[in-house]
Amino acid sequence: MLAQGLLSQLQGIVGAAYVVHRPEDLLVYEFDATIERALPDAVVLPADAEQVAAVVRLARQHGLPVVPRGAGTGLSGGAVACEGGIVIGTARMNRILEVDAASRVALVQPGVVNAALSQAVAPYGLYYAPDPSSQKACTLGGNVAENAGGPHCLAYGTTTNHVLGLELVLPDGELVWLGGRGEDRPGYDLRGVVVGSEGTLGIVTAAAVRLLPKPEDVRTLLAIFDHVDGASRAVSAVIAAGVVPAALEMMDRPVMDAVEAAYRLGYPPDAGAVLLVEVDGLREYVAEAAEEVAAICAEHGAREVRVAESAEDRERLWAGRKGAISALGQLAPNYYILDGVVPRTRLPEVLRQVYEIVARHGLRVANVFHAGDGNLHPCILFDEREPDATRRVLDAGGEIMRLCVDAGGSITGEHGVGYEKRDYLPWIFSEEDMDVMRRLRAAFGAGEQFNPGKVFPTNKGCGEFRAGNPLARLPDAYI
Amino acid sequence: MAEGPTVDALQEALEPVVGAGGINAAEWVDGYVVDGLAPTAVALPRSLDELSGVLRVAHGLGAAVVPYGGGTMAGLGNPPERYHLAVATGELNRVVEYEPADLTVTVQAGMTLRVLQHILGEHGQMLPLDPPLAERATVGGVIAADASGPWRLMYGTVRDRLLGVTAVLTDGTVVHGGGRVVKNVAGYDLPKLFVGSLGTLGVIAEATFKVAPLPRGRGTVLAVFDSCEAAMAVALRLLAAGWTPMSLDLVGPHASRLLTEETRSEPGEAAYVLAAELGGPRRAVERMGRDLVREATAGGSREVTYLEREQRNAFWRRVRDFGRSEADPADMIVKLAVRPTEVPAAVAAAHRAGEHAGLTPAVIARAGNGAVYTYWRSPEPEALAAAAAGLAEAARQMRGAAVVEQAPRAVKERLDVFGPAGPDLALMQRVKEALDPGRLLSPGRMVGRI
Repeated sequence: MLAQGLLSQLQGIVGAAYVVHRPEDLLVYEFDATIERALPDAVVLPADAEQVAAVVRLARQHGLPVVPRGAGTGLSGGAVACEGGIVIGTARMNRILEVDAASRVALVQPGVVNAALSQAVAPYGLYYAPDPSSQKACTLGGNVAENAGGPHCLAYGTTTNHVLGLELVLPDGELVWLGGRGEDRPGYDLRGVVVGSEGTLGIVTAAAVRLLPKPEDVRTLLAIFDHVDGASRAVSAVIAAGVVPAALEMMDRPVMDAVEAAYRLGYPPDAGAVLLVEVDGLREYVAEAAEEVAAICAEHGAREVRVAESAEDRERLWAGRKGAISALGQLAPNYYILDGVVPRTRLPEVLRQVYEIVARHGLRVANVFHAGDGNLHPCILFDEREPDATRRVLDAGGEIMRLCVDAGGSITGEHGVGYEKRDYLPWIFSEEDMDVMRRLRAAFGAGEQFNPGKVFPTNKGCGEFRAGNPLARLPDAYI
Repeated sequence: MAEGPTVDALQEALEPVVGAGGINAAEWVDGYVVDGLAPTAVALPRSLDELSGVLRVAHGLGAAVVPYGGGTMAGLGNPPERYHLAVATGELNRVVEYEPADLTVTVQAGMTLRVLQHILGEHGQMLPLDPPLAERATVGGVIAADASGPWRLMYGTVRDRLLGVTAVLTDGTVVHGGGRVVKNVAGYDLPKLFVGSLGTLGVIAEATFKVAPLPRGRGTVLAVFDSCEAAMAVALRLLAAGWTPMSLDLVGPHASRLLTEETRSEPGEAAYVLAAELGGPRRAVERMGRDLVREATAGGSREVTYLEREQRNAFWRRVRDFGRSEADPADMIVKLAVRPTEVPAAVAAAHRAGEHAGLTPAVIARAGNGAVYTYWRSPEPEALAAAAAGLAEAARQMRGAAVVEQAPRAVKERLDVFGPAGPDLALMQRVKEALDPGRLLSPGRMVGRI
């Protein structure tokens, strides 16, 4: 709860309509797409960078945490106000400020929705490449904070490869540009440090991003396998053969079941796994690469390779992939999505162990992931009302993270560390490594105030598990 | 030097770390000169442990350290304020881990790019970075200088290929950032911090890269135009249409005369040459070649030439090494970084800057990236400095950047080679302070003489 004086000051900065402070109104801001939640003291929705800076300065004076928030679609708890404080939402800063089609650069505000940018630049024959599955809702500011990925990052890289420059409000309220609107800015690549820093170094108020010309030709293939093993060996073989598809995704049986139940797209009911492969580029390249991918899949036991013949066919194949996560609700009331990465040659064995681990905890898992990058997304299915279920899910998740690390991989490929995986950070970084990161954070002036409880290990908790009816905790709330 | 540790102190303290054969204060020193300044001694560590030990000792003695790879980009940066110890990475030249099927490789920093490319080539792969002088350029140097070449159009620059880095900090602490997998967002992206940091934050010891399959077919096409504008219009049209060459360079008249003298093409006097390297399946290469011929002809090109294999290797090698090789030396290299659409304006500005200084630049631009390299020859520091000032002003007007990548010390003393510092300088200074508070690592070389 905010002191009345502070509330009116916030209202003075952004306007009374844009300060959310009543507990019942704050409820929608207490979580993102993860398990835990925490109630902020207030949510402010600034209109521009100056207002953001003013709010940041005010929060600092009052010693309140600042938590940046885009659309709240994050999968590591980045936008959850672990220690309360002021959430700065970017929803109103949603304008595309400039499109330089000839140089293929756009200048955007952080609240622009990912897919909206691609739509807006489509008339120029351009698009924005990083395509998280939540792209219809997630914002570019959030993408920058998390260094978001997506299926097409295999060929085109993640958000960091597409950001040229950033305008940032530093924790002391200063506004600074890092990088530029073109390439090759002299000096340290601090834009590169801010991308993926999960809102702990500042809050992005504008970004110059690279646009790509739409490929001349696209071909999407669906390779159907009897077993997951064959599919994951085919993935390793495609990469080893030197074909770099635009996307190379895998879905296992449980995911197909969910997708079939939700959308009826015609996946074979007895297949063990499918690979969704897309190649794009010049016609001549696409033709050859598609043939090669199909041949490799066949060699590794694909019983059938379907090729999308039309744009509608392609859309349908992708609909299953893009809708897979939301379809998981068909299988269980809750799911917990992980984000481990392993070297691509290790996929077959790691995937086998993922199934074993989850089974050992008496749970089920559905796998839908960026196989070409070795970026696993095991979705552990559960029912939070069952006693101890959440605890078992988190235990299994921890073991899977450990498995990825032991295979030479990472605890997160695109979702971020957040609060969720902060205690796993020492599994891949030494105390010295983390010390450098903390020193960088201090250099940005961030201390613990900007998005506290995220990224770095801490023994403090973050909010509480989402369980039961949230209104039960707010007996006086009127909704 | 007046200040700093003595030769004897350095030798005595470093011998236990690197052995008598790993420290030299005599004949080696001349090979490690930076901007006219020779170090007091040179250390040649043979392992990560030794490298860490060297830094720890230097830190204890208050010795200013400049990490030194192949010296191919030693001209980049402001002159070092102090320079006591060169830390040569030449003996750190092993492959740490290479799993071809993963398309990733981890190597020590002192390995030359040519050796690395050879190792990868045996597995049909390459590191798609083509900076100048690959036979001498080391992995660590390429990262620290953010060196790039024509291929950046398709493959990006160091930041787009670097997955992980191991570096030694000023006090000898070994730190790792990133990882060995192709996708990783755990913790802050430390590898990015070291790209282009010019040895001012730490000494790069190992690096992991995302490698690429060698293109199956290749071709090179040169299209000759009468004007820069006509050539760039064709370039931007092709790129906007989703054309995907490995590289697309614009070569100005002076450079094109030199570069095409051994090929069949005869660009003549005022020729701007659009040079494209095409890679991919044979049919895709042929198709891109046809596109270029059609678009170039429609766009006013008076001549289009395909280069044969031998010619094209020689041509691209000279383009990459231009200004830094014996074949095409330059006294000063200034890169203008602008938007691709501003390339003609940048080229015009370079010629204007030259006119004021009584000089004519050679120009090679990465057409799709807006990196315009200008190469200058003159024995007169005043003339070079005047040209550099003109370029800096042009960059300011275009909200781009002008970086003096190579120049005589007399020129460098008249300017900050990175141009006027921006509002982000204070933050950069704080980052430097956080990692090297004693300013012992390449002091003064970075932006704003950090």
